[in-house]
Amino acid sequence: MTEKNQVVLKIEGLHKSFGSKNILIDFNLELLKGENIVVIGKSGSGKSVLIKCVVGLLKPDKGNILVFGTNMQKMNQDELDRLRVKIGFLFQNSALYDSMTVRQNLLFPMRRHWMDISREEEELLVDEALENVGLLHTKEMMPAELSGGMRKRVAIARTLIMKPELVLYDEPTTGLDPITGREIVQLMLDLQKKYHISSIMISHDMTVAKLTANKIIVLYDGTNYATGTYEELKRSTDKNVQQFFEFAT
Amino acid sequence: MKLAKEISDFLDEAGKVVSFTLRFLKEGFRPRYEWHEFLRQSYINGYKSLPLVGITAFIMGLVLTVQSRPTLAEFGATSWLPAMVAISIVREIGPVITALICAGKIGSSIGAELGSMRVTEQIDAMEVSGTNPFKYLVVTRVFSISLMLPILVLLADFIAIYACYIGVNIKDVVSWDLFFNKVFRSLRFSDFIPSIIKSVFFGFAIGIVGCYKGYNSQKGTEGVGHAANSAVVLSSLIVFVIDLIAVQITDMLGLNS
Repeated sequence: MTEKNQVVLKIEGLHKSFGSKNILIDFNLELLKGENIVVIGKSGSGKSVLIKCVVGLLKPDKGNILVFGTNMQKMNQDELDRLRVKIGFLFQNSALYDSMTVRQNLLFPMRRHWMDISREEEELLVDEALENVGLLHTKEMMPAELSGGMRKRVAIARTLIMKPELVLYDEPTTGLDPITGREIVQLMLDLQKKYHISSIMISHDMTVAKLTANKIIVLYDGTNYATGTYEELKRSTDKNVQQFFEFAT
Repeated sequence: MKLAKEISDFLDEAGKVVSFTLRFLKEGFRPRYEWHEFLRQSYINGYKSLPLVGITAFIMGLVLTVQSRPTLAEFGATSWLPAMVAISIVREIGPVITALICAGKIGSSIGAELGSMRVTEQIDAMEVSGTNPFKYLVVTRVFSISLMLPILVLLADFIAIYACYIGVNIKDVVSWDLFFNKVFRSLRFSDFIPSIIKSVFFGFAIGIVGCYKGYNSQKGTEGVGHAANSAVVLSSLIVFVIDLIAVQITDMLGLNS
């Protein structure tokens, strides 16, 4: 198998329900190295639940999640923590630590896992990560002092500082104006190319999917309702697929 | 029917608090130890609470002295004032008042901080970065308050006794040496020990309740307010319950005579 065909993430028959409500029903997905998959669906369709299962924040009721070939369900907490270093997660609302400066936010994951790194190397990595998102000047600022777009950029820097191989984006453009949203998407694409990252992006915006996706999965009624490229799905005559294209530009 | 549901909800909540406490005991003594965060929390919960605790202790000692004096004067026993105030403060008033102040200041702040971290997904962010948020946030806070509260109680005791000295000298003239001679002749080491031990439990209860309410906060910003509020109410109540149990134990051991 060539590196390009290497499977980074494989989800098989995933089921998740809350009480009597079924959120994911027999969901399947395969992500190859360097690939960007966008999972699109309406609000409340279970998109965020899907990626929270992938990173181990939620436990699936049934099914297998194989990350880099290892079944997450069979891992103990230490193994899961080690695996999480290879997975980046960008939260919908950035989730920066309010009590820490931007610099401390970026140092936090590093100090948990890279114990043998020197203070100088740490600072270099923080500077590089902030330069990548164009926010080096905010290093000593508190998250509360930043705008929504800047917080998102810092969150991207924090997500990528550990050089993850797989990144999960939870609605990265939500709450941003269209111009900032597009800048954020472009930034993510540039950094993914720079660091050869595979990604799954959750969105309800087909415009974002058009810009970023190699493959789009339409999540409907908890299942992979339709899968294909932007152009393939655009040609679909199914009304449940077409509704996502109505407001796409 | 409504009563049955309320009882069921209460028992459910009590079970969750017990389970949270057991998780603390299980995870709290296993590495990795978050020393840096523990020291930071000790600074916040201990040092930063000192001005409030100190002012309250001073007022408490002064008021108790001034208000007790007329009754003792009726019996010609004003010379017992330093001993009476010191014993009251060390055995009961110092630990309980300090714990209640800390329940209000620290308990509410932990409930609100962890609650807001929960609703803004900061706790989830910590978990996905490979950090155990329970160890980092809960264990450090509970240990720091359990350690800091007895220290604050001791400081509050000494400040209140000093305020008593000032209170005594408002109407009488008593030298520093004589005052402290009277105080320390009446106080025994066994007065301090139960007070310190129960302060550790007060601190533990304030920490566990504050962390439990904040860590399990739900329903957005409304939930954060509720977490802070219920952390203060519940931990204050538990302080009194622990005090009641402590006084029974010290009485059985003959330490109250």
